[in-house]
Amino acid sequence: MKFFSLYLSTALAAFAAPQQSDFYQRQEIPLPPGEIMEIGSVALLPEQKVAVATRRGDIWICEGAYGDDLGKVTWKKFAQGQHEPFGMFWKDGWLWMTQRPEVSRIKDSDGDGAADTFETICDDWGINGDYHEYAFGTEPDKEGNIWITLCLTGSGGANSDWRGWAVRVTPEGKMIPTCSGIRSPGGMGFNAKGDVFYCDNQGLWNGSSSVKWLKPGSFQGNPTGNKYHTLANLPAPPEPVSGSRVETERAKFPTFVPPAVVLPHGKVGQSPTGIVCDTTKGKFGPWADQLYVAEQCHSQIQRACLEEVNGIYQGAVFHFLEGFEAGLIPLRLDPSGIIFSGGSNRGWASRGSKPFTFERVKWTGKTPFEMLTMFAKPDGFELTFTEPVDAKAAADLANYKMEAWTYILQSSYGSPEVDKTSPKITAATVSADGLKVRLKVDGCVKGHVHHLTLSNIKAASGAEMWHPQAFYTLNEIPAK
Amino acid sequence: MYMRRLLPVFLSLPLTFAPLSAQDGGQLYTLYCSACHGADGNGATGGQFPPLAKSPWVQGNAERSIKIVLHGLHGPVEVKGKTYNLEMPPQGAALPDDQIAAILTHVRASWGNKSTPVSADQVKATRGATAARKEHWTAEELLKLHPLENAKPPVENLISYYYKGSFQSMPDFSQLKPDAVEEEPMGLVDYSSYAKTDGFAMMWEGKFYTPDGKHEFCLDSDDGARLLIDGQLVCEIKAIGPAGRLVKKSVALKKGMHQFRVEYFEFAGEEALSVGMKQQGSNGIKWFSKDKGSAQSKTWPEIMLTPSADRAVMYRNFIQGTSARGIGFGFSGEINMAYSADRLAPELLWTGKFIDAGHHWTDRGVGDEPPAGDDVTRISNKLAYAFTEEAVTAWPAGNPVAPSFRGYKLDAKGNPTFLVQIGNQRFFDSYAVVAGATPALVRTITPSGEATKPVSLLLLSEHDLQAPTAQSFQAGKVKVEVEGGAVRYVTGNAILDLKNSAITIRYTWQ
Repeated sequence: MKFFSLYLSTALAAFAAPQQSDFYQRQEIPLPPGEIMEIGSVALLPEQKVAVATRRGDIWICEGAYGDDLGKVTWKKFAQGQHEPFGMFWKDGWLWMTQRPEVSRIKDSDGDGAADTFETICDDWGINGDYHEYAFGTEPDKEGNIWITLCLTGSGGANSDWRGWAVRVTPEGKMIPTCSGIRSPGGMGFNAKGDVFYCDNQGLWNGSSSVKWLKPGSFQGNPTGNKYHTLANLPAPPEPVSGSRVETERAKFPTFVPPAVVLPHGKVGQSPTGIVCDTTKGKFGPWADQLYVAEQCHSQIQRACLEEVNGIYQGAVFHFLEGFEAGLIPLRLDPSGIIFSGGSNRGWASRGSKPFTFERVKWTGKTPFEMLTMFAKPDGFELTFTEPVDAKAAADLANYKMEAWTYILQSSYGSPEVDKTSPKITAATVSADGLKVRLKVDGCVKGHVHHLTLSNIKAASGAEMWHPQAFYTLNEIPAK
Repeated sequence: MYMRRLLPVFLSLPLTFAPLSAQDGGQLYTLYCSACHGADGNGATGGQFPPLAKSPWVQGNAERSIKIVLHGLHGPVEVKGKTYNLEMPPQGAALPDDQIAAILTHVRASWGNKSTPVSADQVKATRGATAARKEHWTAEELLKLHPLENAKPPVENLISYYYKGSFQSMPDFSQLKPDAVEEEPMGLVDYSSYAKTDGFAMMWEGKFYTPDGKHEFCLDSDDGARLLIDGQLVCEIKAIGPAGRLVKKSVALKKGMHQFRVEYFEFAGEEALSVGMKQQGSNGIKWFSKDKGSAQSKTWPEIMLTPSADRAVMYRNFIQGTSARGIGFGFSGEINMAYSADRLAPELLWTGKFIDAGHHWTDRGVGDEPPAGDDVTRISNKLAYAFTEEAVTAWPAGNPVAPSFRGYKLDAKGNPTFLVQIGNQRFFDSYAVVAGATPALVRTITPSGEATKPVSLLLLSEHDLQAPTAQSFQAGKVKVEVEGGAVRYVTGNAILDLKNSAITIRYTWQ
């Protein structure tokens, strides 16, 4: 009996443990009955309509996905027979999509609700019948161009033109090869400034999956498709040495842009996909300008907070939303603060156990106690929190732990975590308002992922931290 | 009431502070393997991915699973009666020996598996011995090196009975005395050791296991054969004849062991006998015979695309016989075509069924899918437009005309009009089926805009040309008739010089 009451009081103390449902409401959007809706693309349309494209090549338009009563959702089939579209948006009355063989735009000219006009905008890249030659496309950038990442043949070869490259396609259909070094993309998106990012998956020349910045002219690390530079008289991309490190090779090759944020394999997902930037001005929580990164294998959405240091992006990734019903692929964030995502686990398994899903997430208005940002400093890091911390606990060095590692840059599949170090946190200074903690760290390693774990740090209000881990990719150490 | 909220707290505690120990195979399994193989080892998504629980692949000789983890596995693999065609990515470069050992030790001792632990030294030795290997393994390769020890034979306690004699129909075995009786420890129906002479009959009896469900049995033979389950006739091929007379039947069975009996006779000539079962919910066939019927061995369920009464169906995907940018159209009247958006022509024409999308819509959808119907005629396989001046003595290779594919429009019946652009000139290339006693696929090419140079169109290449005239020719069973232009023939190619007026082409089947 004594044991029981002890157990009970432990249970009561833990009652305040933060739950996703306290902060975010995740809901499945009903799908058309009997249809296989393996969603690979989502586009937001005027009048709160949402279009989705499936891996089977069907395009459907959904009404009611924004509504309070999801029982009122209706669907209309807009087109069929397309070839695995991964990237779709609405512009000027046309639905634009990047599908395996081409960029197309389609519309319903006669007003019967189904597409009848299918224009091919650009089909200048190669495909040879290999299922892995996927094409992922963005929404238009500031200049109106679509960015497309072209997956390698079988994810390890480059047997068709421009495999392993990112290209831009102008609205007129001109293709501009822009970046080399790509392996197997899972999705793309922009940050608030309009720079383009994509997710590349663990495998050959990718020690871990990561979010990478497609700086025009850059090399992303995998040399398999390098040979295609000759097709457009571009300079030859770097040929990194297998068995090296990104940090070593990028010192040799200035065009080699390191991953902006590594998503450590297994620890922060296993197959990252769609990217969106939170430009909702606070309608989805306090994460202004941060990136949300969807995850197919773990059926999650991660949160990444980036900064530019010495002209290179880097930053931290935090666990964020989880429990989606299938492997997530596309991600869209409506300015009103609703995330729409969908997915499939055909061919690639996911923690979410349904074969496909379409979901939305809304903020409940309650902000979790979290690390809001983590930025690099010359001698460590600065954390900001979503609400003032309990200053005593936050000043206690025993409540912080840091490990760092990197990966082998190699021609074989993935990499273990290597060159492990344990940077020592020597000071934790809490700001007067309790919103910031300045960590002084001995032994930060340029090029390493720095894994910070907080324990026993609560908010001044008593709230427990939802996700006490951060993974910061330290490409550059700022001078000030 | 409180438990639901408590659980995550307790679960997250060890993760927050205890770093992953290299020895903790359970945690490593959860981290790296469980997304596909399932936290319970039964395969993710209700077994859409291969199970490890009670799988003979991960038990017995550990070499087999060490090699799969190190180098990955490619292509179809049968696990516990179900065929999977996915891709196991290699982990050898990502996971060190001690972690692989810990994971496999965990797998081999979990979910009912009872096999010995794996040591880091064992992994190291295998890694060293296979260091030169760059490719994934295939299941076939591994099974040759390391056959499954714990696998139950497909048919247990199988006994074969052999009867000499000249049989032209199935004999009544109860009236015959066997010339040989053998135990068949492999558990496979196999006539091969008796097939040195014509004129014999055989019968096999044993037991096999099924889960609950409606399972589809298939039988094919040369000459006749019968399959009986629990004494009930399920499939039968009565007459003398060659293989290819596949018989299928679905039978609802309860979980457990069932009586298995196959009867067979061979009169003369070739022999064949394949017997299999597709379990409910499974794509692959579990074979009870050494012969595997080739026509039945696809590992995906059929998803036949069919036009509706009032609308054609379209399929952009990898269609065998055309280029990777294939666009299939299934029209009403069982007329089908595959247009190449690379080479800007209808390249395949066929009748009957359109296409089975099950191939591309199952697992990762690896490979090309051939048309599902009959009389597939490949009429062209070259870029279909060229400048007329380049196409005088031959259809040009290295064609400088550079036409672009600009897409298509669909009419109310789903019939396409493709748009091809060459400089300022555009060609609208329309297709529709006209019903009638002899249904025809009617194609109309309408030019528009100024031509910089005259352009020719390739109607037929690389095909045996029959009865060529200026207005028509025949390619296999397809008759091609042209109105509005004259066909000319250059080195076996049928070519049409395009002017400023519309041209109509009718494809009919003889």
